[in-house]
Amino acid sequence: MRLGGWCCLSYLEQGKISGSQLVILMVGFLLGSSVVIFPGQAARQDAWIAIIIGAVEGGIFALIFTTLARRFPGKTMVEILETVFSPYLGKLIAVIFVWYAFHDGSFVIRNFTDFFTTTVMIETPNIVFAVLLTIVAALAVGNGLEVITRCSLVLVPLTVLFLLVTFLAQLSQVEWTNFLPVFEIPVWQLLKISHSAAVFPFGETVFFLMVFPFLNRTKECRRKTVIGVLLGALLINIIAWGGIGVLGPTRALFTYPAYEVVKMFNLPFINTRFEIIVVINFLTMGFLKLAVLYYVTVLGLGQIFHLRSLRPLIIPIGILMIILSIINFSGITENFEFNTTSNLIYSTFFQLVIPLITLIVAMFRRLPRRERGC
Amino acid sequence: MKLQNRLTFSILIIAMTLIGSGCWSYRELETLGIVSGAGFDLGKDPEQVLLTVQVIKASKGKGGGNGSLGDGQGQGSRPQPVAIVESNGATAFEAVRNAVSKFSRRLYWPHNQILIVGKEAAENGVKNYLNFGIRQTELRPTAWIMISPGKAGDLIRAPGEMGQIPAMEIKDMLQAQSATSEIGSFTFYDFIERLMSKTTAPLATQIRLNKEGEVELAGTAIFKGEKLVGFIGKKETRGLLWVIGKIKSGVVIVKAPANKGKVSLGIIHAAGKIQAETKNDSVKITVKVNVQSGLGEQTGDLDTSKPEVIKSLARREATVIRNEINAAFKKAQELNADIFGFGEAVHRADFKAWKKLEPRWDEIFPKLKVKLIVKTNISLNGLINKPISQK
Repeated sequence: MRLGGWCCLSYLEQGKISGSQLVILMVGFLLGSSVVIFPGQAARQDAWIAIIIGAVEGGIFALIFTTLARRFPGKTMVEILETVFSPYLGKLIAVIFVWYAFHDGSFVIRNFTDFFTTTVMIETPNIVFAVLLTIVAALAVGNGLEVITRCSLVLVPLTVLFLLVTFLAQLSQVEWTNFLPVFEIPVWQLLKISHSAAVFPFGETVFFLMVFPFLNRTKECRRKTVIGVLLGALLINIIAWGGIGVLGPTRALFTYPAYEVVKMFNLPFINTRFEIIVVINFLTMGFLKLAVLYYVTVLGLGQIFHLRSLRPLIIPIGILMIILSIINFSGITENFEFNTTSNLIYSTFFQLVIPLITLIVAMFRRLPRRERGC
Repeated sequence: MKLQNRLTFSILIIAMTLIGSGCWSYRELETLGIVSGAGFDLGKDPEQVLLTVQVIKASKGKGGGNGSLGDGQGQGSRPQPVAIVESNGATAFEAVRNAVSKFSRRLYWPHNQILIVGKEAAENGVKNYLNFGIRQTELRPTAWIMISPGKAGDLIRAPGEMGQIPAMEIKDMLQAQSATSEIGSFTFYDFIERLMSKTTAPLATQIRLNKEGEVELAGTAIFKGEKLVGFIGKKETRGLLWVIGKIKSGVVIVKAPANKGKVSLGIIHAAGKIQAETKNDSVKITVKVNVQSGLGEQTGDLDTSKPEVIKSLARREATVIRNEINAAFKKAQELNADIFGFGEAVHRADFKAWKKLEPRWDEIFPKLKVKLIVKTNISLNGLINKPISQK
């Protein structure tokens, strides 16, 4: 079995990561843009419930795609698709899957530039942030998966520390009555909102299908993914609790509630103006998320076209991603509108439908058995 | 690392330091007009916004006041550390930008302490000024919001008493009010939070110039929606603050039993709680106020070592507090403005019933009956236990 895994393993990536490293990378990936835009905001004071339900739904997605990954140990999503469907149809679906990673990466860049130009650096053009972020991410991608993971080992604990410190510091400003009444939103609406939390960010872990084969022990992927989603949900919930408790009903006003919460800080003697912490969080987590998505795109394309090296792809993909991030939306309003409407269906297709169909077809064709011996 | 890699790497580092550390859009202190306070009024044409701002003279500072550099204000003895700028515009945003035509520096807002809105402008609705304030990144939602019964501009122009920056003095004055708790302090943000609710009345501090031309804080301004509907005095303000639990400290004066002078009770801790119940569309509101206080002084000669004396003082204190709350409540019902947030309490307790009650809240509130439970406890006697008198 192990031998089989080895010979199918892509020569494009030599790195290996351990299970706990995967968990940390996944937490960073989930935090991504959520450190400033926490999901489920439409549920008002029930946002934290929406996030929990969303995480459970995302966890169900994760169970499905990790079952797929465990059926084909040592194979990335692109290779799985090519084995399950015929090489041609498989390649077509793989291209669509890689497109999703590419598109999602452009969203990250867009969120990143929008956030910076509305909050801290108002007069700087968008493109500067997009280019700088992408250059750093390109360096990380060029160095491979192991380097991205090592980055996360440094950056994620730092962000978690920042989150916990800001959470504790704002406890004194929390109005507990802001959490009442609980379950005001009708159930159907709550489920719809939690679905939006499930597709952004929990379901996005589907991209780790391109990473699982590089685990030391591929079989661990299911347990580690579930742990990662749970930890991510807890941290995002911490952000949401702060937002609900401190901001109360005005939360609905703000474009970036998490940023506004820290702005409300008023610690005696140390004084105010801590919001740059949120900016740092987004800087690091946005980089991690982009790096993973960028890497998935590059690796996916490399495997589809059987390239010998990923290097020639990195810079063109980065440039295209920046361009896509600019032409995606005309403004921040469209960005948010997309996230609350079309994205619910668009993302579900990639996060649930494709892995599920692949799994069902694989089961009917009894594929992994035939593949033994490679 | 290969030589080629090392080369690209160093080129990238050089390029990034050049891009990243540039002085793009830098601003030096002497080119900024640091705003310490701002006032909004209606312009001559009521469609226009008249903005008056107080700008700190950063180059001279508050310490350099030896008069020779002064610009003649304040009897020439001490120059005002601030400059006053006035500008007009169709909206608040435009008025801020138009200030450049009268003032050499660009207005810089993050240090703005107070925002005063004139009565006329407030009666027309404050959203015109607030939306700009919260949308722009330079302004901070923690600035204090105040309403003036006259023109806001006059208060912004009023000189400080200590020769410091006047807006800072007003801010310090406001923060010192917790000693009496007769003036509520409300940030921009508190105001908007209340404005987001359909029923709760937004509140702001009332600030005015008294007959001597001094700046004075005098109670609370009450809004209905975004429009100013009236003012309440200091007594009612404290009644309001008991209920919403914003009392930090203060003094309650009670008459001692058997006309033995007055007793001042210092508030140590106070908590207010609103509970709502609904039953077949009828609303029952219970307000619970818990006050812990200590004996501050007495002018008579009560023997304060006796528990029954302390108990009777506590009862009297409860009556005083109840009166204050009732006064505030009566005033609120007159104005039909839910300053206590009873509506939101109903919402929290029973959101299903609230859906039906909310549209009718304007009819329900003036007739609302409130059960008031005030619990007082005098827990500390101070350093002496007996009256100062010969026996």
